[in-house]
Amino acid sequence: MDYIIREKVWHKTLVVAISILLLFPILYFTFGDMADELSRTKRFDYVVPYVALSILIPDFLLKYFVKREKLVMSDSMKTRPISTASWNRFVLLNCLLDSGNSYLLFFFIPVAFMSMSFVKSVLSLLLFFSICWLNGYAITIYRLSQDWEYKAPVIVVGFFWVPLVTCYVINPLSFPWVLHIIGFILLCMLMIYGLYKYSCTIHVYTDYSRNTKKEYVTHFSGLAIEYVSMMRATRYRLFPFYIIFNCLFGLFLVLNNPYISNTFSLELIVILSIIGLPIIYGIFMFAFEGNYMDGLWTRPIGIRRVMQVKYNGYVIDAAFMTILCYVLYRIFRNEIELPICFFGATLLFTSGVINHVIFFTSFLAKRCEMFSNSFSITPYRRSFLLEAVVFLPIIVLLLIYYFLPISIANIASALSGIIGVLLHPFIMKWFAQKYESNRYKYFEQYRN
Amino acid sequence: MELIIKNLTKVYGDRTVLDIPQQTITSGEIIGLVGNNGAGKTTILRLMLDLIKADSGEVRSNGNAVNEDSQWKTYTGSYIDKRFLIPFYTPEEFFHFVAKLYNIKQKELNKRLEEYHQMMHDEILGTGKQIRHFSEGNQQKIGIIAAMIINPTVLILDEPFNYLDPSSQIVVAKLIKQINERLATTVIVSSHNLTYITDVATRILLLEKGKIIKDVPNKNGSALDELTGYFASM
Repeated sequence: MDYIIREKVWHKTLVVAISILLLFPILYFTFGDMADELSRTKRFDYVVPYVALSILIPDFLLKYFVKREKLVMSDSMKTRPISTASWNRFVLLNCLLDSGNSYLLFFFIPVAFMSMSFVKSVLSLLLFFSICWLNGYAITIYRLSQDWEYKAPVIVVGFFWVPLVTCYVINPLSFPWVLHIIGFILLCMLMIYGLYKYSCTIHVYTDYSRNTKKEYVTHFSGLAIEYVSMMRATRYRLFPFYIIFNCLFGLFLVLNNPYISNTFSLELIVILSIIGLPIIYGIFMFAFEGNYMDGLWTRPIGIRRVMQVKYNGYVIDAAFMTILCYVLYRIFRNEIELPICFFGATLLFTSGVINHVIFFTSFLAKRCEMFSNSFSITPYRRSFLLEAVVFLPIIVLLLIYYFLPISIANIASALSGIIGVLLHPFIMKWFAQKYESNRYKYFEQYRN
Repeated sequence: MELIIKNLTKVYGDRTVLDIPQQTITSGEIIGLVGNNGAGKTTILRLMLDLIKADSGEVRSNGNAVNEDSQWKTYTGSYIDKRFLIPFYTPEEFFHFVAKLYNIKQKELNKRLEEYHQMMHDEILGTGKQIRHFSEGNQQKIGIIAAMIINPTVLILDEPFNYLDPSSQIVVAKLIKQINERLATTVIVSSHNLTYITDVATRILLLEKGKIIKDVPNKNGSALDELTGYFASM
């Protein structure tokens, strides 16, 4: 009897990846048109409702992929006298204060204040904020609804909401601009209120037996544990995709922006793209393993081997991003010339320097709560010092490319990378020994 | 494999939670650790597995200090708690992972898993669930099977009867005895369940406030009355 069943593992991942990649043309066509309109009319306030409309769907989709928390009342709270209405108000407030919900504002704030009067800027930002809040709250309510009959109303309302907003943006009643924007904000508030009232009617149970979906049993190589842990960590599984998306979208925008002609902008985005993915995996160094470190330590797998598996994974991540960036660069190439050796040098620097520096995170890692869906504060904390250590070599690399001619910068980064790769066995040995000599302290941190 | 404990102490703050001057566990013995909460049962097991730092003394497995030489990991199977499981793996993946670490081939793994069929009740394999989604009892079973599947010469189990349904408790007790008879495995088991512990153990160590206060030979459950009397009188 064969107990180990092998099945395909990637189809779900593929769907998510393709969905994210589909955002590229959507954003390109919407923002591309906006830019043309803006440059023609010079009426920045005029395009505000259109921009708001254009961010509606991409923002919703991005939150759909990234926002995972269900904000379910925990059993301990449920058995205490806390009313559903109070909890739902808390959820609403939580969405309001969640900076992740309104990340788009960070892009719009400088643009708005530079291009419009104070009142118009404030109103525009309030509108963007309302849309971000509404999207975030709608996703939260969608995730709170446990069955399709409860999810369906949210989806149906969404289908009506988009055409309604599209009609409103056209301004058929010819409202003055201020009234038009205030009306738009009020519409969003009305929707939020409707969602809140709806949330009070749905019953949410923390029914653990629901979590019985069939997992795809994999055939593990040494590297797989790195990726499987991230892919199955409820809170973090989309982090890598998010990083890949952001990096490639940034690269896409730089390559397609006629106003950007200096090489450094392109170098910057390529460097960050190549380094970004290993960094994302690196910041979780031993944070996932903290959940089962006792089991690892008592089995014949040394810390050195665990670290080597991680290092190999980071090199593959960087190589993957290098290839992706190069392909994108070749497809959308503009007049800025980037030699292929620049990509190679950056990959070498990442493999030889960055991927080693990341290992400092192993000394400061806390156990990361991988699966919590209900509202809880993760015990995983980062140290400012640690972030400074990790980001220092990135800044150094960027400074090299900023101040030196690209040919010399390439030689410098490639050389540092080669030295790092040559010293790799010694560096890894040092990290492993250092970790093992302080292991009791780290193990204790994971248990807390 | 012989285990020797020498001058082993563990102190938390100003409280000594474990203090064992000398103890030898000879090859092929089944040691039952009993004691009330806070007696130091789990602490001693954690020290044997080098999971916490001893304030003084050492544990030697087959002549080597466990905190200096990792050779013991190749022949020791253990399960203390859920931190010994990889929560995002399915049981199949987890057993496969463990087998890989001990160079157990796939065919051999399947054969060994067959031996634990009765314990799994068709509830563990083939479910497609991640380990974290199993009940406490089934997680406990997965951990115990993973510890035993490597055919260890030293087996360390903390409260193996906890969370288990009655029939699984019987099966676990039987498996402990079987592995001891078949492979001459040295077993150290802690438990609050006096009936089962006296059923499986050949020697009982009674702990209280970090000290071994009784070392009772146990043949066919002979220590049960003494232990029951001791705990009843407290």
